[in-house]
Amino acid sequence: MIKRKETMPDGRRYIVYFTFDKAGSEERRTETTASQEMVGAKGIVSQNSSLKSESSEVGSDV
Amino acid sequence: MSELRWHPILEEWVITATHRQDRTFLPPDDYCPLCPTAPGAFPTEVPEPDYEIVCFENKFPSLQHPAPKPSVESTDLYRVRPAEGICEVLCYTPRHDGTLTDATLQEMRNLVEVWADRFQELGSKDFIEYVLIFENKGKEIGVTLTHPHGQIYAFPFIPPKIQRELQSARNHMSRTGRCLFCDIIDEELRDGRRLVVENDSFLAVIPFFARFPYEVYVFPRRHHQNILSFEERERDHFANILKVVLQKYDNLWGISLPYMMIMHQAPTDGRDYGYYHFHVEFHPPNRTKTKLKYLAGCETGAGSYINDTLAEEKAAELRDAEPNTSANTYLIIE
Repeated sequence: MIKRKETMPDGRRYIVYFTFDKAGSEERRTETTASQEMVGAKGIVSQNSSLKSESSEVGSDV
Repeated sequence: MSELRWHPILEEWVITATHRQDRTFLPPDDYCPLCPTAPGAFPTEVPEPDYEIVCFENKFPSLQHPAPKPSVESTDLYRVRPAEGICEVLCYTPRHDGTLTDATLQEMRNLVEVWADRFQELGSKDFIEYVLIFENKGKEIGVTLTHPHGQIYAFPFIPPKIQRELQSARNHMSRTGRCLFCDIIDEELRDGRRLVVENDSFLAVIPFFARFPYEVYVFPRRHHQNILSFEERERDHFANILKVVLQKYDNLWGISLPYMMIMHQAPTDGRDYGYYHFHVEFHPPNRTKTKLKYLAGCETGAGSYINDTLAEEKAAELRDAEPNTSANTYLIIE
């Protein structure tokens, strides 16, 4: 899936998740912007790995 | 106003969130805040004309980031701290009517992917120690919006029930050298009477120790601490078994059964919880088609549950409810 991060008028964060089929054109499928990323792109983390060190925050505004 | 107040008798945090008193309560269907915003129509919580799955920060959050300053000063006995955290709403579908049971298997599979993504993103934040993914379904549970949705609470502490589970799992590991949950799975499979449905990767049971009549636990056979380590095939099987359990619930009496669905995963505070085992708990309040089990004096007052039924009998009822799948038969993802 692909997620696109947006901000509501009142400043709250919202994230739209959509599948390739819904993404529409091939061009949009491959498009990458600062606020759009592949879900699961970071891959599977090991059982005991710390999420704190595994993940990087992308475009978070919280 | 929201803040965390320490309960010195139970030694746990109470979330005080007074602004939630004003939250939207059962609005008319055509003013649902969780529907997409139609062109020219009133703006909902989702400023998009359509979506598949959408997640947003709760308008009436119990936990916030940054959290407001507490309204009172701490004392030695009565500690208070900011209610730091994140509360999100997860809309499963743009369709207002229906429930998660109506989701196609592919939609359920997509939701598994989104759950994993939210767990990873929220759990990676420094101020978050625990990510609780859950769904309250039905007016009987106190749901204020009927649009199919779940919630995520990202806590700045490990909630008390999880702490108790962790302690039990630690004790069992120390005593036996084995995972408590793996031993429960073995015992349930060996006995078999409380098994509701199983597939190659998961089993659903009403456990020996059930506190609600139709309380179902879904366990992965492999020892996972959280959803992130599920392989692709396990994610497929997870979506599959959840779908089957939900269908069985609704087909039990031909009603849309209310429930609380709670995903129990290891904390995200960076420590090692190798002894913990992922599972999902379903707590439907019904004890019959028309009667509810209430958490009354004994449960609320003493924390001691009374189950008026036998898990073995209730599991047989759910096993017989459609879809009456035999082991390792699957619905097909189309």
